[in-house]
Amino acid sequence: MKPILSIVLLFVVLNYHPVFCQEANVEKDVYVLMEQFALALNKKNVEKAASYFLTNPFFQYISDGFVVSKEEWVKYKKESLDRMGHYSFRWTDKEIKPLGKNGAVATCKSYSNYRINGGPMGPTESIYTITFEKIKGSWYMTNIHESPNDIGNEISQ
Amino acid sequence: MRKSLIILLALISFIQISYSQSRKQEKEINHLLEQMMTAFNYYNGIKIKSMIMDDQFVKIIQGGMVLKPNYYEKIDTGVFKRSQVTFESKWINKNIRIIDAKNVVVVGEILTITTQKDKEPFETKSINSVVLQKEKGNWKIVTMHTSNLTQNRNF
Repeated sequence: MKPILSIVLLFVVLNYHPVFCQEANVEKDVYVLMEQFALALNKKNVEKAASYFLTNPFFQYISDGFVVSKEEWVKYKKESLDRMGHYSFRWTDKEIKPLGKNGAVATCKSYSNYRINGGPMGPTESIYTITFEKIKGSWYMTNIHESPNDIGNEISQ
Repeated sequence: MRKSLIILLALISFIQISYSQSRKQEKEINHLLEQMMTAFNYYNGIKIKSMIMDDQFVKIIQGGMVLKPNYYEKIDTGVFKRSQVTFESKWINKNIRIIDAKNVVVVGEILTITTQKDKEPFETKSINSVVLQKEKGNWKIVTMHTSNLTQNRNF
């Protein structure tokens, strides 16, 4: 009887005791991950950016209805960044909601600025829904859904 | 020997309980998603609104637009119903990822057949990312992001 009770007690403590339910750190961890992702993109380090994606068949990057896997995203992103002389990327309007102690969802916008082959600068804004999970102590993006922001994208001359 | 056997039995019971909880969760999620489609197809804005969490964070995004919280209240009296447009939407595939007992992510495709008076019906497919959270025993939509599916690479 005692071993069963010990196992049950251990289960309850690990899942419900406030010390182990660290939802407060979830927002901070996800925020840091998003900033590291943005930093990697600004350095055009696509492999590093993709290292924050979950390596699992569930992962999808949905860009305005075009669905790609992690490997496809790396390939296409490298191709598009290679065409760009100047590229900058930052998050704006980040809102993060913890989903328990091992998950989170963020809605946010991104602002990118790029120049292709000496042409005009092209700022673009996108709106995102991103889900995150903590697996074996590390946070990963498990699904990224991006749409061009409907406020309007402009090309400056 | 006896103690080891008891611990083993306890572990097996724990795994079985977790598995059946996970199956139960998936069943509840599938039921909610089917109810959502039925509510959309019958312009039941009030039903749709009841499935959405009442929280400041909630975001419903269609294409690049964030829908206002009262959007679904207007569906039953809105422009689609007045113009006699009917929708038949259904999930054609979905992947459910369970984060824990109260948090789930669903990504899947919805096929919509749109029928308008005196016009040929047409089909569209959308890709949808839905985050669900269990609140007071009921699953609620936290975020829903929808885009029309395309084969055209855009980045």
